[in-house]
Parts: sequence; structure tokens; C-alpha cells
Amino acid sequence: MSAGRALIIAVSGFMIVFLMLCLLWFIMVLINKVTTSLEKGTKTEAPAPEVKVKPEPAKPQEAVFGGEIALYDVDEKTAACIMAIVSDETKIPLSQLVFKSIRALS
Amino acid sequence: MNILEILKMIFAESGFAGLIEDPRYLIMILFACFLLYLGIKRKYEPLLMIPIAFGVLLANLPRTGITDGLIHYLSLGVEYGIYPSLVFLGTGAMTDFGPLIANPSSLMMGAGAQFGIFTAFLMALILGFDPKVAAAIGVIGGADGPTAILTASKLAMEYLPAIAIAAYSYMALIPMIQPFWMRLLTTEEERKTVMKQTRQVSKTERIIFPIAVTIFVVLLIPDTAPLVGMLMFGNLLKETGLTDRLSDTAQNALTNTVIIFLGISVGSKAVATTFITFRTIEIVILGLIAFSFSTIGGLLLGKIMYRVTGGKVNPLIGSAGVSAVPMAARVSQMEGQRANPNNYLLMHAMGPNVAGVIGSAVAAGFMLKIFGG
Repeated sequence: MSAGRALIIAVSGFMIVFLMLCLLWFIMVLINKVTTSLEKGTKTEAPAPEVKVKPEPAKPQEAVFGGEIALYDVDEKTAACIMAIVSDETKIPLSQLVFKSIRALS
Repeated sequence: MNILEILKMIFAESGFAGLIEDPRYLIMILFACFLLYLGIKRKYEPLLMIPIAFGVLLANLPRTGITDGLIHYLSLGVEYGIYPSLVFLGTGAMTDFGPLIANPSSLMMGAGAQFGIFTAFLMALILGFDPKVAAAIGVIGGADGPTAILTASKLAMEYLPAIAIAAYSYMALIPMIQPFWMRLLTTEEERKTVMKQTRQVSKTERIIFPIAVTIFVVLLIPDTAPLVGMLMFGNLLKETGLTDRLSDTAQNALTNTVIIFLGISVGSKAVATTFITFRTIEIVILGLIAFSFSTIGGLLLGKIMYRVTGGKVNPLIGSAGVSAVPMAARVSQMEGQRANPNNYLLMHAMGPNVAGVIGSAVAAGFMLKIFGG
């Protein structure tokens, strides 16, 4: 095989890989757009039926335990955000979580 | 006939006499023991290294005739390209394409990391290999064992064991090969880049993805059908949520069975008479070059993405474009954390990583198309 032909095969092969993956990129963006619009469509087309809920007698509020938390290089606002995120991710109410300390890692 | 004559006859027909006749078998037995050591003690891809090594051992015990019987029939799965495709079925069932779907630009890094395939192909030609063999050697750079085995079985059967052993050895050595290039080609600032969390991917997207990839990739390059088709079929089994039993079989029982057959069959092809040649050493060196250039290609694409996005993409994830899943992604994570302990690149690196699997299958399909597998 001549050097020129070998080079052409190598370059065109590399280009084919790029073109193919570019095409996939385009297709994936397209799929995302279509599915997003479909999901939006179904949400607007079928609004959730109104459910009349009888007002329940107010339950006594669950006890929320307070406590001290040690903050290292973290302001109170950030600490509150972190605790809310942890609660949301773990699906455990904040009232059942105990934070001992929050430390910023440099 | 006295006892001495009987003992002499038994020895003359034993494998020991065969070893004395052709000492190359002894070298191969030692080589098999070395591979077993790498697999067992060093944990270099043990799931495949140990079966391959034992296949080498069995095939090089003289006068057993095993390669004409059991192993001959097991090897048909390699010769017809059945085992690599079935391994891809299991890989697809195990792979989460979510990070790639969430961030499709990862595909570019997966494409860049196929650079080594074509570089090694050219180098193999310069060294005087036949073009078909050169193409099969190049595919080592894809860092995908089944793809390398499938291509070699179609284009360069005589070099299959050397190619397979080189591919799996370098995949195991990724944590040693890649960090050097990663540190050389990226700046401290680039390595410290923290990437934003990717978006949630809907179930519909996950189901449509394997179907769409199969249709478009296979229609454009039909030779990729055995690999891409099986990879995506396995993934569809996983994502539908309706075929859990099939997905479980593909991930575990089937993959494990096929890996045993594949490893033994590939190893058994490494017979002393054909394996101990200078060409084998050349293939091993070319494999390392292919791996290195693939890493470089992925990193360079990562750097381009870093520039284009204004510093939102950490170029370290580019090296994960070589398709050794998930080892290459783990290396990106480790190097990212070395530069910045708050850096969590694993999920971001999984995008280019799985893109590399598709990229190497496309590159292998291209080679098979050109060189007539």
C-alpha cells in the first residue's frame, strides 16, 4: 500500500468517526427537544383534575429538635442550604436529621 | 519388555519429551504463568487475563491434542465474531448512557480518543505489516478488548492472541499510562476546573437513545452492526424496565459464560510456533503507542472544549474517551481530585467514556469495511 493511500484511509477513517459522532450529537439534541416538548404538551393538555380536599383538623406540629452545630469556614446561609439539600436528597425531614458540624474543604 | 523400557516409552510419549523437542513451549508455559501472576497477584483485568493465561497454558502443553478438540470448537465463537458481540450485549446492559445523553458534546472527546487507532495503523504499515494486520493492530488504540478481538479475528487471525493480550494488558495499565499525558498536556488551572452538575435524563430519552443509535450508525456503517447492534440491544433491555430478567442474564450469566469461552479461546491461539516472533514484540509496542495517542487525542479535544466553552469543561475528562469503561473515567476523577480536592469528574468523564465505546466500534467498522472483513 502506498503512503498516500494509507494516509487517506487514516484521515478519512478519523473523519468518519467524527462525522458519525457529530450526527449522534445532533440526533441526541433532537431527541431531547422532541421529548421535552411532548412532555410539556401532555402536561398542558391534561391538567390535573381538581380534587376537593376536606379541611382536616390541624395536627399538632411535630416537635423540631434544635441543637448546636459547629460551622467551620461556612456562613449560616450556606449551612442552611446544605442542610436543606441533604434533607431533600435523602428524603429525610429536617426534623429527623442531626447535623453535628459542617466544614468547608479548601 | 521390561520396566525400564515401559518407563522410557511413557517418557518418550509424554509432554516433557515434547518440551525437550521444542523448548519454545517451555517459554510459552512460563509466559502463561507470568500472565497468571499479572491477573491474580497484580489484578490486571483478572476476569479476562486469567482465562486467557490459562488458555495459553493449555495450548502450550505439548501432545495434548486439546486444540484439535474442545478448544477448537470453543474457538469457533471467536472466528465467527460471536463472543465479542455477546460481550458487547452484556456491556450495553451494564452501561448507563445517561451522562452522555445529558451532555452530548462528550461525543467529540470520544471521537478524538480514536486518534491512536489511525496513528498506530500508519505506524504498523511503516513497520511493514500487511494493511489488514495494521488495521487490526490499530484498533488496540480503541482500548476496547472485544472490539480489538473482533477486528483481529476478521483481519489478522494469526496475530489475534498478541493483539488481545496487548489490548487487555494496556487497559489494565491505564492508571499508569494516562496520568503522564494528562499532566503533560494540561495546565494546573485547567485540571482544577470544576464542572456543573449535568441535567436529569428522562426515561423516554434513555429508551429512544439505543434505538436511534442503532438505526443511524448501522445504516451508515453496516459493518458496525454486530458490535453497535448488540451494545444498544443490551442497553435497551436495561432501560425499558420491562425485561429485567433478560437484562440480568445479559449482565451476569451470559457475559460471564462468554468471557470464559472467549478468554480460553483467545489464549489457546498463542501457540509457541506462531507466537514467539519479533512481530509479537512489535505489536506490543504499537499497542502502547496506540493507547498513548488515543489519550493525547482525547485530551486535545478536551482542551478545545475547555476553550470553546470558556473554561466550563475540564480537559481531563477527554482522556476518558478511550473506551476502557470505567477505568479511564476513574483516572480522570483521580487526576481531577489531585488538582482540586473538591473536583468530582467521574460522572462527567463517563460521557466521553461511553462515547469512546461507540467511537471505537465505528472505527473498527470502518477498518472492516475498507479491508474486507
